[in-house]
Amino acid sequence: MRLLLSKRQALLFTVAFILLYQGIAIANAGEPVMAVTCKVVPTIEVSFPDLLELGNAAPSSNTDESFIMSETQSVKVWSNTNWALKARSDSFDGRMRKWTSGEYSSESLYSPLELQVEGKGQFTSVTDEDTTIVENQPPTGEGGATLSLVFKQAISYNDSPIIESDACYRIEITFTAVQAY
Amino acid sequence: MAKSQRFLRLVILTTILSMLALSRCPTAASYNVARGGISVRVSPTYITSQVSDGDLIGPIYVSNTGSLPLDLQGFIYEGGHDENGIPVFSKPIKGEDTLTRGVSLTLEPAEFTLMPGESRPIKVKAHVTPTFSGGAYPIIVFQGQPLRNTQPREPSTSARVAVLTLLTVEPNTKQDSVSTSASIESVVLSQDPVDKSVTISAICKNEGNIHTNLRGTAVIKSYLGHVASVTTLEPVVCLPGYKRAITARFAPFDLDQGIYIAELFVNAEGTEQLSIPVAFQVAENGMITTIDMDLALL
Repeated sequence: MRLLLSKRQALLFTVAFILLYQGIAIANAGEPVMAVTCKVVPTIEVSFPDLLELGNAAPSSNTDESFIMSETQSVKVWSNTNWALKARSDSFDGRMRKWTSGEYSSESLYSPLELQVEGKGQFTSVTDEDTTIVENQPPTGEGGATLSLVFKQAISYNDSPIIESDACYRIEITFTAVQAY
Repeated sequence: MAKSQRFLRLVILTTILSMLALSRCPTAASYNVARGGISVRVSPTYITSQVSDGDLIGPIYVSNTGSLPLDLQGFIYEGGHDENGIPVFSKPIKGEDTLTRGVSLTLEPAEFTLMPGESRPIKVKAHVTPTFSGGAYPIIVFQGQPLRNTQPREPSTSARVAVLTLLTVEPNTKQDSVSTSASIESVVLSQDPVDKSVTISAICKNEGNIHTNLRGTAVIKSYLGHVASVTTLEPVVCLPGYKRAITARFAPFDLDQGIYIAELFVNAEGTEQLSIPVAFQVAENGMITTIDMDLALL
């Protein structure tokens, strides 16, 4: 069985193909086209614990044991660009101050509250200056990134005990999530 | 036969239902994660805009994505960054009379409450002094705290999210000018002791009155001028008056013993290409032994 076409059939086939192609092209050109566009904008979402109660703390003559440590606190960040986290407090030297009836008094603990990030490195105090605690973090993806924080408060016999039921030592910590320039 | 058909139908139905259950919206899945007390979402967190007096920027959407009602407050800070581009906050600017490089911003509203799940657009109005032209970089910070009627005890936290702005004001007259100028302050060359890869980084300073994008290339050449490796610098933004580190890491490759020159070519928009060559000597084991800025010393 021969598959070769005659010259006439080949010519007819070519002409038919060209006409069909042009027809499709013209039909497409006439169709209304709707372009759909959007922009994804840089966005950050953060989630912090709002309150941390360290409970009752008692001093010890053994300074290696004379502190109170928080359970691990989680900060969660969702970001679609590189991000960093800063921390500051409302105490200029990072020491907790006595809080009575909604006001601070001048009395403060002897040692500052300290913070450790991701269980690594040294504990550092949180003063009233914004300090970068993590930086150059990549975009988190939809699952977000979780940072673990541990707070440590040294207690000594220099610290005045609190007898009043409505008083405590207090510090307010502010976390700032920010993208890099 | 009828029994086996019924069983087959049941299997198909179960499979379809399982597939539907597994194909839940991924965004919804991520929001089922247990949250802490304060959760805030801010968008956009980076705004680049050309402004004139009275222009509205944004809006910026602030959402309470947590389970506590929140008091939110917006602040404006003077913008700046460290050498890694991490924003540096100064004291917040209060009132319209304190201008940030000729531009001040007011938020409408600046204080508001969001119940869990609520979202609010915040308008940002630019105020430009008539004589100012160039770049202004206020940082908008939204701070959220649990509603004030919940009295906190012991350590409590508040959440802040910063919005960076790169605002430019066109000159009013030809006498006013927007100038771009940058310099390389120092260059550091280092080598990873494990994979022997070489990293070169420079501290650049923006000496103009508008932000600039620093970009460029770095090259390692033999002392005779043969190119051994080339790499591209990751572009970074540098604000006027600030320094920024720009770094290039050469992929690990074997350096033969000898003298090499690493050169960094930095382009800041509108300025001439900056370049500082660093000479270094490589020992037989492929490790760098001597680094010197002065080529004549090697």
